[in-house]
Formats: sequence, structure tokens, C-alpha cells
Amino acid sequence: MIMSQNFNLNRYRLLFLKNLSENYLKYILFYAGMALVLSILLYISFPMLSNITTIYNSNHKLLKREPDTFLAIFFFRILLQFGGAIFTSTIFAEYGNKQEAIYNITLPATITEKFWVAWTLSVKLFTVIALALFYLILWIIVEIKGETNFHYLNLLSLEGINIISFFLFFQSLYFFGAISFNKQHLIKTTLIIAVFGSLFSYWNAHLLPIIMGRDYLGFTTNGDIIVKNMVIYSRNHRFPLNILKELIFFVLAVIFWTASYFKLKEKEV
Amino acid sequence: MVSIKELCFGYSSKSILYRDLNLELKPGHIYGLLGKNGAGKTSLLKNMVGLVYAQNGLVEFKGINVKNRSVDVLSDLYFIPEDPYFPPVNPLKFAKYHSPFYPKFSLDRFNKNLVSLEVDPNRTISDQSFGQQKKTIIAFALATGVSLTLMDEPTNGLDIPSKSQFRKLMASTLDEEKALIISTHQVRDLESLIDTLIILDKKEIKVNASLDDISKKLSFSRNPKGLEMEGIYSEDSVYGKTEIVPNKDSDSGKVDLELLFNAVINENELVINSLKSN
Repeated sequence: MIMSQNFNLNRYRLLFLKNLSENYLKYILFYAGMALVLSILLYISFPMLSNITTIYNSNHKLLKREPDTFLAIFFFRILLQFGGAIFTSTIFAEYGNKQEAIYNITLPATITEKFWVAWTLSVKLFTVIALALFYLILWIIVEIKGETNFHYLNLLSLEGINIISFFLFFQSLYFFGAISFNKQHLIKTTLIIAVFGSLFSYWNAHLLPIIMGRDYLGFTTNGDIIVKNMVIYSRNHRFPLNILKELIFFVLAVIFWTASYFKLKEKEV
Repeated sequence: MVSIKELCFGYSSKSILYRDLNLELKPGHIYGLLGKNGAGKTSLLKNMVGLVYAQNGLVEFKGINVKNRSVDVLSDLYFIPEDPYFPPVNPLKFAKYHSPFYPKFSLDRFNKNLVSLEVDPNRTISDQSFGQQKKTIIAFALATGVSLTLMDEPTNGLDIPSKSQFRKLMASTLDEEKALIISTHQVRDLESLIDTLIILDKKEIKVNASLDDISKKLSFSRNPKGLEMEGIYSEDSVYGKTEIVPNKDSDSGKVDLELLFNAVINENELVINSLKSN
């Protein structure tokens, strides 16, 4: 058999199967725990999830009726980001343990194949399973409650793309943390994200007035900037600029995944 | 097979383990790597496998730089660490998922090794005793058919019958295309097994010679009555005095590895120079 020095699909398959054979119990327990927590959260909050918001004008004329998706989106984000962070933090845990690191590094597979197995498990497979669990549990609850007009979150909407792109960025940070730290990956990565996030917000608040020449007060959830006297500088919400922000998250995720690959390549015992 | 050139390695720039170390390992030999605690035996093995990166120098396996951790290198060598890790699977499952990575693996050989080392193939490895775990990885390593097997303290944790079985398995595995390197403190366990001795001390290789060559240059004798002899190095023992004397008639005798090791690490120039002489 001619062995490719970079990527061999058969070896990747063997490595993937080896990983599953060694860790399947851990994965099953993780997803079962996640499904349980999600079921409880969604079941308890279902009355709020199925809320319909009605908006009237000053003459009490109905302007629009739309489903209140805030809580569903919130739970969806929690599931993806926190579940993903916990799962991904363990994906390279073996490299933090001397014995396991020897076992993994000396296994005859390329760094690319080892990287893609970890990526497949923590990004591809996790996303698919988490999405499937979310919609399955929600569907079961909707059926139990007999709700006929429930509005499911559309992942192909801009909101859905925003959730997925931010999740991938978040995931890439934990992926990088998992290979960079030897122990307590989750805590250390979270701490660093919190510190850098705070610093970023702090400098943002100081830089924006300089750039804009106005007193900056904050920003809305849509990313619009609020300045003194409540003048709102709105982001361009039109296509393709609305997609651009999501693209930046994708690009950042790719940068962190690439950095993780090189970290894995340099790993020593 | 393994070529180490000008290797400079340390875990920090302040604590250098070796400086400009050179070593050549050839197929068809069982090498015994000896050294004091902290001399860098395990680190040397790790350098040979590509588990650590040197500050300077080059380590090649069959002409390929091991630093790249290429599949061609990793699938043709096997490293048994002192304290190996095992996933929570039994030996048969371990072999099922690991053997495809080693093209020359023989399942038949693995099963025979398990039988001769008395390892239960159906019991989860991580639930077994340390000695049983060690025997499982030895059985697997010797069934991979790789050209180079590196072992760090392989006899630690093995009972007396297993040590004897281990020696038999090792001897039966070796052929003209393979090499084994064993790092150990248990010199007595390997006296009848190794054919070449490497002693690592104070950042350099003090001895790299075959036991045949050593025995042609030095004789190892026991002097129960404490009579005066022409020993160039001696030690008191419960049996009297054990001595190293120059071998004048070039007849090969048994090498006392422990005595030789002590002479070398005590920097006995007469012994070291005798080994260097042609």
C-alpha cells in the first residue's frame, strides 16, 4: 500500500473508527446529558417559546403578529456554544497527558489526518448532532403540547447564519485552547476569552469616539452604534453587507483552526 | 538504520542533556542503553521517535528526519514507554483498531505472544495489573514487524517467569533487518540478551561497543579471597572483590554489565581508554 504523506482517506477512516471505539461511551454520555438538560429547559419554557408578539400602532390598529423567537434562539445559542465549548475542550485532552500524548503522537497517521479526525468530531459531528437534538426535542415537545402553529427557527435565515457563524468562531477558539493548554482547557480558554473580550470592549469604547468624533454610549443587539443624544448609527442590514459580518467570523474560525493545526504539529512530550 | 548527528537537546536552554551527540544504530542488533537517573536515556529514545524536538542536530531513521513524524517512519518503529497508556479496550480490540496502521503486523504472532506471556486477550487492558499491561504492549510491539523497537524499562513490573519469556520473545523477533534498543536500569535482566552496549553519562555517550569487543578487551573476575590482582577497577561485594582486568589473551568471557557501568560512570579512565583502544 502506497502511503500518502499528507492525507490518506483510508487511514483517516481507520483513525476515526479507532477514536470512536475508544471514546464512544464518553460521547454517548455527553450527548445524553446535553439532551436531558435541553429537554428540561425547552419543556419548562415552552409557553414562552410559543409566544406570539403582536404589535399595534397608536390607533390600536394591528401592525403585525410574529412569533417571539428570542428565547428559542437563546437556548439554541446556549446549546451550541456552551455544549460545543465543553465538548471541544476535551478533544485534544490526551495531548496534555504524557502517556496518552506518546500513544497518540507515535500512532502512524499524519498530523493532517489526526487534525481532521478531531475537527470532524468536534465541529462537524457535534454541529449535526446538536442541531438534530435541538429540533428533535423541540418537535417532541410541540407534539406533546399539541401546538399546531409553532414557529421553528429557520437556520437558513440571517439569524440562523449568525448563530452558526458565531458558533464556529467560538468553537475554533476552544479548539485552539484544547491543543494549546495541557490541563483545564475549558477554564483556561474561557478565562482568556473573557479577558480579551473585556479588553476588546474597553478599547472599542475608547476608539469609537475618536473614530466617530462623538460620545459613544453603546451598541444594540443588531450591532448599531448608539451615541450621545440617542442618535443611532445603523449598520447596513442589506445584502451583501449583512453577510460580511458573518463571513468575518468564518474567516476568524479558519485562522484559529489553522493555528491549531500548527500547534498540533509542534506538540512535544 | 538510526543516525544521530550533532544532537543538542535539553528541556530548556539552561539544562542541556546532550551536546553534539553522535550515534549510529545498525540492524541485526539488540542495543542496551544504560545511564544514571536523569542522564537522558528516555529523552534519547524520544528524540529517536520524534516525540521531542532538538535544539540542534539531526535524527534520521532510514534516511528520513524523524522530526517530521512521517507515516513511513512511524509505521516502521514502535516505542514502548516505561508507563504505557491503554484505552479502555481488551487486547484483541486494541489489536483490531491499531494493527491496520502497521502494514507488517501479524495477528497470529500477537496471539502467540499473548499466550506465551500469559495475558488474557478478553480482559480490558486498563483494568489489568501494570505487569499485564506491560506484557500486552510488548506482545503487540513484537507482532508489528517494525524495523526498530524502542523500549524504556521494559522489564519493570514483570515477574520472574515473564522476564524469562520476554527475553525469549525478544531473541526470536530479531533478524538481520531489525534492531531493538532497550533502555534500562535492570542490567541483570538483559545480560544474556543485548549484544551492544551504549552508556550515556554527563551529556555524552561514554561507551558504544559490542559485548564481543568489550569482552575481548576486558575480563571480569570475582576474587573471593581478596587476593591482589592487576585489576584496573574493582568493587567490594558480598562475594569478595569483583574486578575488571585488561584481557591480555583476547579470549571472550562474560561481561559484568553492572561492574562495567559503575566503572564508566565513576570515570575510570583506564577502563574507558581500554574500550577506546583498537
